[in-house]
Amino acid sequence: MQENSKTSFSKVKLIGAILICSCQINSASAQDEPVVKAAILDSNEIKIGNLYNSGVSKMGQKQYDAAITDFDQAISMKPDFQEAFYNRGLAKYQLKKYDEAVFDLNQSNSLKPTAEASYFKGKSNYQIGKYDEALADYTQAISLNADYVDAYYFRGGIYFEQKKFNEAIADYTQVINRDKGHAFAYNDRGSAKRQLNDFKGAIEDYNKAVLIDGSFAIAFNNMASAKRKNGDMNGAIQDYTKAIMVDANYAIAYNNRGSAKYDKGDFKGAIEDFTKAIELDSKYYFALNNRAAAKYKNGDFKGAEDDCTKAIQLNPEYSYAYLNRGNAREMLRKDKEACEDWNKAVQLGAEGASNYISTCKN
Amino acid sequence: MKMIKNSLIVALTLVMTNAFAQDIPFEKDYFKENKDGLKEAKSNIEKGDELIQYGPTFYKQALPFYLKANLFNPSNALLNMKIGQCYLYSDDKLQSIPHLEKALQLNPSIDPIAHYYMGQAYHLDMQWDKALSEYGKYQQTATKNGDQEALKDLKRRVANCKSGQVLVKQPIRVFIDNLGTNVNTEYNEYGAVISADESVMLFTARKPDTYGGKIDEFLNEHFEDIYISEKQENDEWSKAIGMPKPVNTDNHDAVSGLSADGQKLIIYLGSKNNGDLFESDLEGTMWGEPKSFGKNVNTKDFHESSASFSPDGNSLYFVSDKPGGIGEHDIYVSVKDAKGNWGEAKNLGAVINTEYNEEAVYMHPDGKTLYFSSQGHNSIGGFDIFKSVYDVTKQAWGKPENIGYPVNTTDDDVFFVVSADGRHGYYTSTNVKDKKGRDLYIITFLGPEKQMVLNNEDNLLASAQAPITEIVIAPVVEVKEAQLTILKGVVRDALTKAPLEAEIEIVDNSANQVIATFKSNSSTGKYLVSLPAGKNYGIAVKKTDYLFHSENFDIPNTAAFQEVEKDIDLKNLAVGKKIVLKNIFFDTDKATLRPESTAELNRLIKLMTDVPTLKIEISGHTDSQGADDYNQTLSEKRAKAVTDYLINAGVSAARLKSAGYGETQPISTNENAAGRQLNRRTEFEVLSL
Repeated sequence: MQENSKTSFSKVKLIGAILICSCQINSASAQDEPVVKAAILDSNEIKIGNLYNSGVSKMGQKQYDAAITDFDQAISMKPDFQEAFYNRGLAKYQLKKYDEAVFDLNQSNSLKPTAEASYFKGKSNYQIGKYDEALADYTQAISLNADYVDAYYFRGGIYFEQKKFNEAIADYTQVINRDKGHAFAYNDRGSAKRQLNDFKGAIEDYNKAVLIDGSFAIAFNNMASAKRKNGDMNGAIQDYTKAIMVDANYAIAYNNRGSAKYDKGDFKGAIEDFTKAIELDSKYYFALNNRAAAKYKNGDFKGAEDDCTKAIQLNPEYSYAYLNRGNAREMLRKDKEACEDWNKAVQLGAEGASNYISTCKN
Repeated sequence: MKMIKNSLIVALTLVMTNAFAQDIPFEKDYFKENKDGLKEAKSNIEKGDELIQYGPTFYKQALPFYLKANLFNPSNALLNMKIGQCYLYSDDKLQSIPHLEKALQLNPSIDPIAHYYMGQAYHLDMQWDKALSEYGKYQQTATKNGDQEALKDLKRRVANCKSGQVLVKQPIRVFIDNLGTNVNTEYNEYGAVISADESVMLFTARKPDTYGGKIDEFLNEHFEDIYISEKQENDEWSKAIGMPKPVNTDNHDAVSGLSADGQKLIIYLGSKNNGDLFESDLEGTMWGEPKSFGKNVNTKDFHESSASFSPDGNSLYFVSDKPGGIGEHDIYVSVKDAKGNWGEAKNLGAVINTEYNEEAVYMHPDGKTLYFSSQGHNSIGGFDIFKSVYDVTKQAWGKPENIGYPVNTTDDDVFFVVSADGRHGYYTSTNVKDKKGRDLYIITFLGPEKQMVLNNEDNLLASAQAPITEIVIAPVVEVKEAQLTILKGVVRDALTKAPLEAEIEIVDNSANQVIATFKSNSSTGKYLVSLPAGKNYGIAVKKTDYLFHSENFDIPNTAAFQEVEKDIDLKNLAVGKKIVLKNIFFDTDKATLRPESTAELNRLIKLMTDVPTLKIEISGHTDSQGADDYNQTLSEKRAKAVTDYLINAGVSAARLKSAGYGETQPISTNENAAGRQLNRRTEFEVLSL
C-alpha cells in the first residue's frame, strides 16, 4: 500500500510552538494542534525553546532538514524533550527517512505515549514493510484515542492487505460512523466486501463513495468491476465509461472496459479500448496481452502474436503473454514455437499452461 | 385482318408470359430470326434429355448440352431447372442455385420437383431456412400424391437441416488440409487408409494410369486403382504410386481397410458378386493374392462395400446391404474362429445402424471407437462421419456422435480414419466450394478452444496507488487422447542383425489368454502392435530355432497415448544364452507364482517340449534392497517355484536346475526404482542342447 499523495488526506500533526513565558496554557486547540502544558523559564530552557520553535517554524515552511537540525540541538540540550522527538520524527517521515522516524517516534512515545506518535510510527513502519508493527502502532493510536479516524482507516488498509477483510470492514465502518462523508472509506469498505464476494454490498458502498465525490474515478472503476463480477456487464461498461469521463487518462479503466467488452463478445470494441489504454501507457503490458486476446478472438492471430511479443518485451517474466502467444502461434501453424511458449508459460508458473502442452509432440 | 389478329395473339401471349414470369419457350415464334440457332438449341436439349433419363450418374454429361442451349435462350424455366438438377450432381453443385432460382422465378408453377432441387441446393449452401421452406413446398406435393419414398427422403433432409442449424453453431476446432499434389490430382481420390503409426497410406483413385487403362463408361471416369504413399522424414507424403499386381488388376480395385501394422490390406472388388471384400497379406515386400473373407462376410447378390479390422485382427467390421438389416447398408461384425475362418456376421444393431445407409466403417486402433459414415442419426446432409464408443461394462455401443462441422459438411463425408494418437484424421471430401471433385484431406484436431488469459486490475484501495491485479485464469482444457500404446520396432537376429519374420503373441496376462498374434515383416522385420489401455500385456516374440523374447506392458485405464519403439533381438538357441522371463510374477516378498505368469510358463514348457534335449537353469534375482540373506533365500525359493511348476507340468527334473543369486548379479543400477525393477527378475539359461 504505497501512499497515494492524493489520498494522504491527513495533515502532518505538528506539536505547536512552545510559549516562552511563565503562564499556564489552557488552550483547547484542535486535535492536530496539541496543547503544550509546560512553560519554560530558565535561560537554558529559553534557548532550547527557541531552537524547538525555530524547528517548528521550519517544518511549517517544509524546510525539514533545517528543522531537524534545530530539533537535534534541542534534543541534545534536553534529552527528554518528547515534543522535539515527535516533531523530528515527523520531519524524518516527510523526508522518507522512515527508520529514523520510527526511532524518534518511539522515543517520543517512551517519554509520553501519544496517539499521534503511534499513528505516524505506524505509517513509517508500514513504509518500510513492517506491517505487523504498523498494525500494532495503529492499534495503540486507537487505544489512546478511540476516535482516531485515520488510524482506523489505515489499519483497515493493512487488514485488507492481510486478506482479513472482515476486520478491514469493521475498521472502515468505524471511520464511516465518525465521518459520513469519508468517500475513501466507503470505497475501501466496498473493496473489502468485493473480496468477500459480497458484490451487492460492494456496489452499495462504491455508490456511496461516488455520491459523496462525483469525481472519484477509482470508485467508479471499482463499482464497474464489482458489477462485472456480479454478471452485470452493461452496468459495468457504463461505470467504466463514467470513470473514463472523470479521468480521461485512466488507462486501467480503459483496460477494464476492454475486458468487459471482450466478455460480451464485442472484440472490436475491446480492441479499441485496449489500444487507448496502450496509448495512455505505452508500457502497459496487461493491455497489450489483453488486446492480443481480443485480436485472437477476432481471428487476427498474427496481430495477437505481435501484441504478446510486445508484452513479453516489456516484461519477459509475463507468463500469460507466453501462454496467449502460444495459442496464437498454434493457429498460425507454428507448432514448435507454440509449444516453446507454452513450456515457458509453465516454467513461469502460468496456471493452466500444463494442459496446453499435452498437445505438443514429445 | 387475319394477320393482324394473329399478331395480336402472339403479342398478347408475349405480354402475358412476360407479365407472369417471362418464361420463353423454345418455339419458332419467339426466335423467328434465328431458326438455325433454335434448331441447334433444341437438339442440345434433346441430347441432354436422353442422357439424364439414365440416371444421376449421367447428369454431369448432360450438363454441357443444356448449357449450350441456355446460351441461346437463358429464359426458359424448364431448361434452367434441368441445368440446376444436373449441377447438383456435378463437381460444382452450388452453381445449381442461380439456375433453380431462375427457373422458379420464370415459372413459379413449374414442376414441383423444382422445389425439391431448390431445397437441396440451399441445403448444400447451408441456407437452412430457405432449404426447409423449399422442402416444405415439395412435401405438400408428395403428401398429396402419397409418395412415401419422397416423404421418407424429405423427412431425412429436413432432419439434416435442423441438425445443421445446431451443429454449425458449434464448430469443432480443426485444421483441414488438402493432402497436396503428391496425393491428390485433378481426378478423384478417396478412401484413404493408414497404418496406426501414420507411416503408410493407401487410397483409391480414378486416374489415367489405372492398371489396364480402362474407362468406366457409366461414369466416364477411369477404373479404380489402389495407390500407396509413405510418410517421408519431412512429414510430407511421398508421391503416390499405383500398387502392382495382384492388388491392382485391370478391373476396379478399391482399398477398404488396412491393419494397424500395415501388413493386411482389405480390398473391395466391385466386379465380384455385386461387390465383395478381399484380404491381401504383405509378404516381405510383395502383397499376396487377394483372398475372399468367405461366405459369412461376402454374399452372392448383395453389396459388401467397406471393412476394417479390430486392432487384434480377430474381428472384421464391414458394411453390407444384405437383407435382414435395419436400413439399407448396415454395419456388421464377424469374428475369426480358432481355425482362422470368419464367423457368422452380426448386425451391430439399431444404436449404430439406421433406416438409411451406413458406410465406410473404421475401427480405431484403441479397439473400442468405431467411426463410420451415415445418412441417418443427426447428419447435416448426405453421409456424415460419426463415432461410437463401445462400453465394455455395458457390453453395448454408445450413442453415435456426429464428429462435427466443419469436418462434416452438407455433402457426403466418408472414409474417415484416425491416427492411433487421435490427433489426425484422414478423410475424403467433395467440398462444394472447391469444385475439384473428391480429394483426400488431413484433419488436425485442436481439441477444445485454448482459453486466452486476460489481466485486469483495479485500484481497490483509495489509499494506495498500486493497483491490485486480477488474473482471469483459463479453465482446464481437457485434451482427449486415444488411450492406447503403440509398440513398434524391428525383430532381428541378435548376432547378424538380419531382419526376422517372427510370431508376436499378445497375451492378456490377467485372463491368461492369447488375444492376438501378429507376424513381423519377413523382409524388413518391422512389426507394430496396438495395445489398448486397461490390461497387463505379455508379449512374446517367437521364432523356430531362437529363444523366445518376452516383454511386459502394464497399461492402466488412465494411461495416455504413447508410442514405444523397441527393436527386438532374438537369440539363437545356444549354450550359455540367457533370457529374462518378463511375464513371471510373484506375490510381493513371496515365492508364490501369480496366475498372470501362466502364459509365460506355458511358453517355457512348449520350448522344453519342442527341444527335448534342452537343459536349462532357472535363476532368481533380487534388487539390493533388504538384507542379503533374505534376498538370497527369496531368489532361491522363486527359482524353485518355477522349476516346480515345470516339473508338475511334465518336464523332467533332470533337465532343470534351480538357482538363486540374490542381489549378486544385477543387470542394472540399484540406485533408482527403474533399475531395481529390472534387477528383480527370473531368468533362464541354456545349459546344454
